[in-house]
Amino acid sequence: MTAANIHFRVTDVREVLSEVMDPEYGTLSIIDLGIVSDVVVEVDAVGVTLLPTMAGCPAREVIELDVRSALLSAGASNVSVKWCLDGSWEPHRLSAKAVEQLGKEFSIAIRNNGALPSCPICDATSLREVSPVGPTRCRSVAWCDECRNVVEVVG
Amino acid sequence: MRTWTDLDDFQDFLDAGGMVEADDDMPEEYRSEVFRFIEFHANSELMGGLTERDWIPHAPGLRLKQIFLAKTQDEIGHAHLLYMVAADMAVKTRDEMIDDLLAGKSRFHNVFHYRAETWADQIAIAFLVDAAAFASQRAVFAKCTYGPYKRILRRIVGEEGFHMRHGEEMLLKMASGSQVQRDLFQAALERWWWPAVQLFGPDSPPDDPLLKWYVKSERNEVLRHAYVQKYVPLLHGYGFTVPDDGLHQDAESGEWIMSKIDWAPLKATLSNSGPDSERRLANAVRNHAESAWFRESIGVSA
Repeated sequence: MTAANIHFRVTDVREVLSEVMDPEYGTLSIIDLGIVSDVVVEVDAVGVTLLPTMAGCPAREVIELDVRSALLSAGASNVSVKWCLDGSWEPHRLSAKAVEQLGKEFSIAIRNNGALPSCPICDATSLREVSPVGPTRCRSVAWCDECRNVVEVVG
Repeated sequence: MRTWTDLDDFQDFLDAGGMVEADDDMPEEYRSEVFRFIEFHANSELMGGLTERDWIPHAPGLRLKQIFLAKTQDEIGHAHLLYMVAADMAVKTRDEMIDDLLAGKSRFHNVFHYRAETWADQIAIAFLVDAAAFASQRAVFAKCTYGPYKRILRRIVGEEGFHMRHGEEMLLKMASGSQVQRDLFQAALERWWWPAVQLFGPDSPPDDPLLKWYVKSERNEVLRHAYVQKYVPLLHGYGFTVPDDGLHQDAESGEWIMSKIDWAPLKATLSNSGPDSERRLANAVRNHAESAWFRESIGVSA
């Protein structure tokens, strides 16, 4: 093993990870989604700890692959990816940019301390929960009585 | 709420890039066409999800079982969202849509009228059929003038795109596997190539209202042609044979030209008399009955 990571800093690793996109929503990075919980740079390895939005997230494997290949192509010599499965991901880990984009581009709202938020499409406080899950187990499904749109809710 | 004086006025609005919202006073012709389109999409997601579900116990290994579980959740979830938007259009209730589907009175995608016989069929579906469905959904999303549908499509297209990665990965495994695996996939390809190509439908009629109103952004034949140009070389690259004796490359343009398509199989599926329609519908009816206790427990009907 060469000491190739000598020129890497934690901020560099984060920079590379900010280009790794969610496999479903390709305009949101894993940094913006708050999935990256820890980065360690040692002489012989770069370690990344990821926090899934839920332990059974089906995209884990693909995200891990993308993290690994992004860092290897950026010149890291040995990449170790760990998943923290204690369920500690919370919606507050989303960046302001992610919250904005999830709302405007994907009609996905973020729960407010357990309460339903306002509608990301029309801003009215008229969301009504329809089902605890929808296409994914990390989001519930709500209906906006004001603008009559389907909204998915994180958290 | 917006109103339009007549269909021409409405057309001007759409031509200028206008988006229709749920409480707009849209022309009845538009409402009923868009409703039918969304109902068809919802039915297809539901029938597709039930197929994926059937393969969870047969998927080789925990990892693939997890992938098929997630895909099932996706498809059934998509159907759920689509039925909500369709029901809101007040043409049929959600119960009526489900009843019509189970009674064989509605339509769903041709590909869900065929039997998946082996695990390789599931891979052919993930690689070929999901890709065809993805291309066609993406083309709807591109313009889609009905706002509530377009917003759901934004998420559906992203999620279906992710499924395609799994299809490619599973195909790569088969293609680089033993001769037995390769033969299995070749046999599956022979069953699924034509249904996948036919998923795009026959050539669009010149006055297709779905194109005029920008529900679709592209003609069926254009999407089908682009699909063939992409998937023929891919399959050849993996060393498989596309089951079309007349398939050839145009000497000048280099484009792949297929034999004339026999549309009789597609027509059969549209009247729910495809090779596996009866069994599939019976399965869906049984599933609906067996899950009644769950719907009751959470206080919903369909």
